[in-house]
Amino acid sequence: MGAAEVFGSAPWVQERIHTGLELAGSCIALGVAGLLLIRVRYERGTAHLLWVVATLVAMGVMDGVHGLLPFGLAWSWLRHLSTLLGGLLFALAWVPLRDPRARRQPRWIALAIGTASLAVSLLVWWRQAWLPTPWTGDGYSHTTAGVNALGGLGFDTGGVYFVRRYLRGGHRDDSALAIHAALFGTSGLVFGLSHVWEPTWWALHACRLLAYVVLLAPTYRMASESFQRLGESNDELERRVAERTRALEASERRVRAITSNAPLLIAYCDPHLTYEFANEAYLDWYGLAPDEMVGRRLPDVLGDVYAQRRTYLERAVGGERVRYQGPMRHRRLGKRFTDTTYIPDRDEQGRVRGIYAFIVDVTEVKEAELAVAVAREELRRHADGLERAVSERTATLRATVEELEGFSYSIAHDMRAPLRAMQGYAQLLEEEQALDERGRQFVTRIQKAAERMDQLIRDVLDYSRVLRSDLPLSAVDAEALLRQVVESYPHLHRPDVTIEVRGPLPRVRANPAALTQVFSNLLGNAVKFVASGVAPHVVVRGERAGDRARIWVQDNGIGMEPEAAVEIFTMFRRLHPSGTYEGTGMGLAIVRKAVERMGGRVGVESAPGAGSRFWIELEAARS
Amino acid sequence: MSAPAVLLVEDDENDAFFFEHAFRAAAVSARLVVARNGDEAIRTLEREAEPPCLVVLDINLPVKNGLEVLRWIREQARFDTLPVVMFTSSAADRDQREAFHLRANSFVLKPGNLKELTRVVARLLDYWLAVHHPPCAEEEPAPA
Repeated sequence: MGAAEVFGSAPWVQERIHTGLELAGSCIALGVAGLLLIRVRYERGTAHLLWVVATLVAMGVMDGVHGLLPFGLAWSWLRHLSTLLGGLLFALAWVPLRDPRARRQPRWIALAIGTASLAVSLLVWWRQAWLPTPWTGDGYSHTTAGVNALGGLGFDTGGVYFVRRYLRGGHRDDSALAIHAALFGTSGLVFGLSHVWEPTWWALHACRLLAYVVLLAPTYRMASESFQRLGESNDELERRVAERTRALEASERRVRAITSNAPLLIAYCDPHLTYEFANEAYLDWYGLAPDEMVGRRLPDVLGDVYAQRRTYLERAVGGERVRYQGPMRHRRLGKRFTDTTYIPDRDEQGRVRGIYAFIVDVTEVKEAELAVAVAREELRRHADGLERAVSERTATLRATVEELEGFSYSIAHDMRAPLRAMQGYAQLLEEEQALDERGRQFVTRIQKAAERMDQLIRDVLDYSRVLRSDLPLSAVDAEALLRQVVESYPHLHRPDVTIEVRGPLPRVRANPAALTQVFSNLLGNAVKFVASGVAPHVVVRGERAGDRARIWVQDNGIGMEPEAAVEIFTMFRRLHPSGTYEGTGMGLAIVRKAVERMGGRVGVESAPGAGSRFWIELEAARS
Repeated sequence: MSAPAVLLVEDDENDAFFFEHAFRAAAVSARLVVARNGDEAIRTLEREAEPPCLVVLDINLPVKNGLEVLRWIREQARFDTLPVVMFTSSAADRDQREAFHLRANSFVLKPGNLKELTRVVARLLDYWLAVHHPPCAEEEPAPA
């Protein structure tokens, strides 16, 4: 075979250098592939690099095997196939890839390609006898040159993708890959023109090594950036962990302070009712140290009480929030009344992994509640008693008042009978012929005194009647009533008396009997209190203001001081010494009481010597 | 047969005295019978063979008061139309209503003085003894 001559002329030094060159390239390729793989795995939007990784792995493996093999057919073909396979894989950069779904996915791809490359390499080595001779006497055969050129074209095709990518994005990584592709592409295209061991051949090898080296820079940068980021994020993480730890410590301190000082018993048990935690109050209740409590079972600590609580605890362990009240024994204070809450603690799957127990000593509250209830009951009883006593006393008082009123009424009434008898006998005596002038005078005096007494009693009875009797109100024609009063009372139509009614008087709501009494008294006063020798002249007028009606009784009498006008309506208030004007001092008191009981008011305007103007005001009757 | 009687039921000695005085002054032909309380009035009415032509009845009486006497009178068939004049110093509405409810024929307030009394008694006697025309005494009353 013709190749033997060429083989024979190959110096062994050159072969060693070549091996070193190829192994260096292979190592760089595999190393860079590994780093890129990490990048693809952890950085988004780097899926396209997977083709570069595939290229580097395939070429790295095949170039490595190529470098290790002794000079021969397999040695040569591995080199050309490596270029071809690498170029084809690199051209696939145009095929868009999605980001790998699983992080391990890129590794498997790389491993598969590596394995496949290794298999191809070993197959080539094992069956090298089947391979055609890559050389002619004048250098590489056309087939060989074509294979290399095809690979180079593949690299250039991929290179265009990265140029475009660089022009769009401006990433230096893309420019490095474009240069890498250009170097590979160029060396592939022109490789067929070179001759083994000749300077151009070496130059093209150097070109390929350079292509690998070009990738080192961005990969290094990427790695250093990654480590920097890693460091920074590590610092940040550490800082946050420290922060979180501090916060947690503070929180734990707070929680501990709360649980330690809370005036309630807190404990935590696992589902088998073994204590995992108990706060100070809880420990104190049973008089146990923390290490005595934790790890012990609740039934052992509770003793007899456990039997009462068992169902509640079982419900809590079953996942129910339980609350109940009941007695509990304190080691020092004895029997206490407590309010207990069990809250199940669930894990992420919702299984009960423990229960919290919160126990509040409500003995004082209960006692206070009881005391309040007792006090309230007592108060109620007391109030009831008081009310009863008041109503009893009121009833008694009312009865007494009624009795007294009745009593005074009947006294006044009964006083009239002997009085009438006195008057009667005095009159009979007056008619006796045997009586002399002096005796007759005495009889007259007896009669006068008796008459006054009788008037007084009648007035008292009138007052009492006005005070006691029901006074149902109705619409009353005041004018008609007044004229009737004037008609029926002899002292009001004496010849010297003028009573002028300047009608019409308003209709009022009143009790006719009471109003008769009022008119009679007012007119009686008007004609009585005049200076001697003056003929009484009384003017009665009416006026209406809204729903009130006023009736004025004006006289030409002696009048009075304005100050007296206030007192004049009081009982037994007389302005003149007895004897000057006859009277009992009850007339105006009766007027006031009667008018007031009919819901009205009375008043007077007067001055000494200028007469008086009395008025009564009542509700006007609706017409 | 004696003169027709006027029965005065009056517990007060003085009032009875003055009434007698006025009765005499009126100079009627009837005689005056005085009962001093309710029981006595009833006994008198039961005893008298001839019913009186007029009963003058005070209200405030001891033992049985005037209204009780009146009720008793009206319960007796033979006194069904007997004129009864309530003669009292009580102007109480209640007494007045009760009296008319028990079919009193009249209600007169005792005058305050003797002169007035004489006048009132004269008019009373004149009306009930001369003007008033009672139904025949033998006539059976209509069943109630």
